[in-house]
Amino acid sequence: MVDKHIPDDTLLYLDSVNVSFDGFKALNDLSLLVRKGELRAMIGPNGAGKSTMMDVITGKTRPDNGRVLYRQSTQAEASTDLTTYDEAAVANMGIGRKFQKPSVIESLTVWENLEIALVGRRSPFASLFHQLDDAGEVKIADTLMLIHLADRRDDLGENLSHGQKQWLEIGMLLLQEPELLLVDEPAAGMTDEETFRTADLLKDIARERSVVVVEHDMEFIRALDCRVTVLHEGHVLAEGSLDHVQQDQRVIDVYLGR
Amino acid sequence: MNSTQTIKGGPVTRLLLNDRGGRWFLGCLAVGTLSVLVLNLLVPASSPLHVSTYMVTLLGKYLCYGLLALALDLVWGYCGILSLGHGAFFALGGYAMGMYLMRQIGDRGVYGNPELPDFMVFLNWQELPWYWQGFDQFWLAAVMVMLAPGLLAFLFGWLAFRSRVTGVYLSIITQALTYALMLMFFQNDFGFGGNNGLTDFKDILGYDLQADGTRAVLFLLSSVALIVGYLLCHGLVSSRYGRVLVAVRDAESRARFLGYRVEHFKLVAFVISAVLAGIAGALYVPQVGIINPGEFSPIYSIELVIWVAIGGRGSLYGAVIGALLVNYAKTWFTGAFPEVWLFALGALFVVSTLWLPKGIVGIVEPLINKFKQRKSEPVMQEVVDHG
Amino acid sequence: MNVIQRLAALVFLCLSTTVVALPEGLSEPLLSKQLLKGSWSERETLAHHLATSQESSSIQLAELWLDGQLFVLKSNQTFVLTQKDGRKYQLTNLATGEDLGLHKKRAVKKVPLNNKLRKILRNALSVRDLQSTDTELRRTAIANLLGDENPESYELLKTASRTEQKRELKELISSGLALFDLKNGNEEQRLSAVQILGEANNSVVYTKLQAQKAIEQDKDVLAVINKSIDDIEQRRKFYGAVENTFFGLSLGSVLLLSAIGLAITFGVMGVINMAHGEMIMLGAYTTYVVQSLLPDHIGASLFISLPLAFLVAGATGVLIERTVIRHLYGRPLETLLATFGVSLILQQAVRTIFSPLNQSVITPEWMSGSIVINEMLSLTVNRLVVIGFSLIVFLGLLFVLRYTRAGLTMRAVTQNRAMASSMGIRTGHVDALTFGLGSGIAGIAGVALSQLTNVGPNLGQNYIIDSFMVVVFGGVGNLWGTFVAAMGLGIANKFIEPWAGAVIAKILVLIFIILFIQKRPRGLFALKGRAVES
Repeated sequence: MVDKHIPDDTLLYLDSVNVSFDGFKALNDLSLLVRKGELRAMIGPNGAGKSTMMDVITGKTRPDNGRVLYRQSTQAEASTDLTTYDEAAVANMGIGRKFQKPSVIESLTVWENLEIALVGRRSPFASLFHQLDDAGEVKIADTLMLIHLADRRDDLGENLSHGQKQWLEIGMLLLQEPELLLVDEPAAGMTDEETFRTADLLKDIARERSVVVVEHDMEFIRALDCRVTVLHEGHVLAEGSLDHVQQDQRVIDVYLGR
Repeated sequence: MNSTQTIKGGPVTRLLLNDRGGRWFLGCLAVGTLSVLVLNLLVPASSPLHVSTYMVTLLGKYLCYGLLALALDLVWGYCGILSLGHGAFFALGGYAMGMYLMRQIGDRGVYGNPELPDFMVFLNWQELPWYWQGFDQFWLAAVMVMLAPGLLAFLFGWLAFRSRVTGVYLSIITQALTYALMLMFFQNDFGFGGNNGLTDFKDILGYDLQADGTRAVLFLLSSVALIVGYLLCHGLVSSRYGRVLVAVRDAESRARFLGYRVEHFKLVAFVISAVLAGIAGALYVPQVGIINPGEFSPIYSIELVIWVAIGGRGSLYGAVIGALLVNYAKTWFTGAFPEVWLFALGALFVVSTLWLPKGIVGIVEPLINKFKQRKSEPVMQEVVDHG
Repeated sequence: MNVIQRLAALVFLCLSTTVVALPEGLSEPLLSKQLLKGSWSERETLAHHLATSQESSSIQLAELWLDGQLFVLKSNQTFVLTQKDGRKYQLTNLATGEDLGLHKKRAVKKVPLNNKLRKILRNALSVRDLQSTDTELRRTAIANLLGDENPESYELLKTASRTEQKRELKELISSGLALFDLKNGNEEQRLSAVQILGEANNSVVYTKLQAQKAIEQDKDVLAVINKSIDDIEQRRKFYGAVENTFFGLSLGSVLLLSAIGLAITFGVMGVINMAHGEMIMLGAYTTYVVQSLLPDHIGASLFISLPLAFLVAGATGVLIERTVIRHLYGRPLETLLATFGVSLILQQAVRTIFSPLNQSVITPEWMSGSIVINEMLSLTVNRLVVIGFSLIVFLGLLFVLRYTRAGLTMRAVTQNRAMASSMGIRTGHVDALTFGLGSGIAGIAGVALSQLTNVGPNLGQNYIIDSFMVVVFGGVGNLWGTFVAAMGLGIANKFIEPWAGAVIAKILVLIFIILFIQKRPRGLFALKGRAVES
């Protein structure tokens, strides 16, 4: 079923995916491969299709054609086509997504935000009678430490700074215990110090999980020190190390050289 | 590591311990209910302290509105679903109860038909339509009081939430829903009494509806229903389920990407809310003695939104307080200055949305907190239920 | 012409000429005395005399007599016009038009009438009408003779057929003659008669054919009768469908008018204005006020009301936008509630200022009546006018939005507020003006709707849900969608109505839309893409 040339440790494989909105091709025959445990940065000008790509992977947007193959933790190879599932199902298969605009629940406390993110059964009735066990408490407490919000656990989400919201959202993703994290512009609006701390955090996370980061900030990408994919007009323009893609003439033309 | 204590005890104990405002609210409600009953039944009518049965019924009606407001607050305040058709669920519950009361009239109607209600005799119907069968049994009526609104809410919600109709679109189609139901119930051949609705009730479970005792019991039941409804809703919103509801309200896609099936969460809340509204309607009808299609009219549904907004959406007791206050004001205005009432109501809509985003509770609660802080430093940590 | 129209014409005549001449040789008291007291044969002579006279006053007497409306005031034996007022009669002198005040019923006596007199009067009047130069009069006269089995009628029709020039009337006459042949002719005559009748659109012809079908002995004729009946039924169906479509378009244009302002405020600006219906109401009340201020210029009142209603509703809209809605941008649910409050205030204001009751708005002369296409189909003028008017408003609005500078800035602001603002457009003003435009158009719609429905404080409420349905169904932000949705829903409604009834039809349409929105939450002509969702 799965094509021969896909490596064994493939976690996610986008196979010539096309998406168009009223004639505008947001994704144009996009193919992309993410390995297990890989940290990947994606760059590209506005409208290159980065967010649409995330929408397709997470089940928000149905592609016109093409497949998005994903390897669930119970599977031996990437054989689940994500395009047939909705957001909740995709999330429960172990794909977490962080939005460009920090998206935390403003009227819940930091602790409550993390608590609803904590891995567990997601049905209304299960959550109605949900009792937090000690292991869960510990996980939340650990995450609070990791995202430097331990002293703000009882503050409402709306009272956090922009950077803290970004971290809280990352913390929520972690408690989902995903196999793959999709992170959209985590450094936007952060101070330099926060940017580097975020980069470190993502690198930490990537030890156990696969992470795909979309970002504009070149300093941040450099700090991530990982394989970079350049998207342009819904298609992969170049791929390789940051230095490698920065030398690429086409990349310079469409993006960096501006 | 854990800064708050874990409270042991049964679920109800924990519920109460974690809800200071709610404790006050329930306490006042219980004391108020009991004193009204005592002043009505035990104090002689000549005494200035006596509460008339008319007043008891009026208060009972307010309590039903309170339960209705509570139901709406569950979906609007906590889940962000602004239903402009909740009056429909209220009315459906009311009609189910009305059908039972209608059958109880028996041969005491104007036409003296033991089987058919008067309006059917008037329409020259020969036999009871199938959907009226069994409504002479109280248990069936009681089941239908919850089932009819629950089922409608389930069907409607299942369709609407699944296809992700949200925000104003949802509001508008809920309004269309209650409007369509109103047109339907106005039809004579629909079999629910047309224009006049169901009325002229005689007794309930063998007790005379006009009797002081029956009225007092109905009032008491309304109060109990409100208390139970409050505890149920509070239990819902303070569980993980309730936190997910809030997540759905504040950031629906976040909740989805956390892996929650948002439509299921909305559906459960919507159905529970509709059932509560139906119960409120069922308690309302025997007290006011009539149910007609006017209850389906969109303006009533939207009026009830303002009760919640005034009281404070997202606060369960706030919604109830809003319902009581606005309805008291309505009774007073329509008695004293009927012309002014719609101006006042209209102004309430504008004022509450422009200047009172969190309603009365949003103003009063911070004041109380400030007062308490000054009285007892250092601040007492509110008990939070984590386990 | 019905009685009221005849009387109205008569009164008009009385007012203009004041004195009406009587038949020669007979003074009014003498005539009335003979009519009341004379023998039946004397009356017959008089009836013939009056109905064949050249004097218009005599003809009117004959017409009134035929209608059973000819009264004599006993005290002075003059002819009077009567109008019931409670248990008494309001009397007017027929000849002078003088108001005689209220009288008891006993004070007057009706000129007696029997079947023979009726026949004499009708025949004589028919002859007169058949020779009239007025096509409508001739048409009525012929139609009255249709299916009449009296040989005199046959002769009348024969005479008329020789002089009649108009094609449709000729056809009508030949149907009438064919009906005689159908009744009295031999097989051959019946056969050709039936063939002629198959072409007719007249309902009398249809009934007569059905009657003949039941008694016809001859097989060949029967077969042709069946075919003719089929033909007529086919045409009936066709014209029925045409009529339904017309009614549907008429309802659709009402929906379009009521929704089109909303298509601007909700569709383009994204503002939920629950007071939209009250803007329509304001327009309708403007018409009412204009008519009560200028009672002598009803014909022109609508043209004066249109710009006024636009201004009144538009200004109210701007006021609402500046005082309330402005503070609530980006909070659609709150906007919904606040504007609903505004709608309550406006309703109550109208109740307090005018009255809680409906006000009567008069339809001008030029908008009343109907255009007769044929005997199966006639279109009422007021509906035609409203259809045309809604199209003009719609196209005008499209033009304003597409080709004017104001429209350009409106679209600019709604599509990219920040960019528009940085280009020097005062977005606040544009918001207010856009909202004013939507409200003003609702006001104009109110002027049109005042011609079709009751003008009362609840007028707006009756349209608000329909309007929202139309806009949502058509697809928010798409004027053409609103157009298609309004017309489609209007026609669908009118085609369901005949077999389900008006209310059920409305309910079905509502349920259909509710289900449709589930399937396509963004309406018929939805814009697709990411930008829409954010």
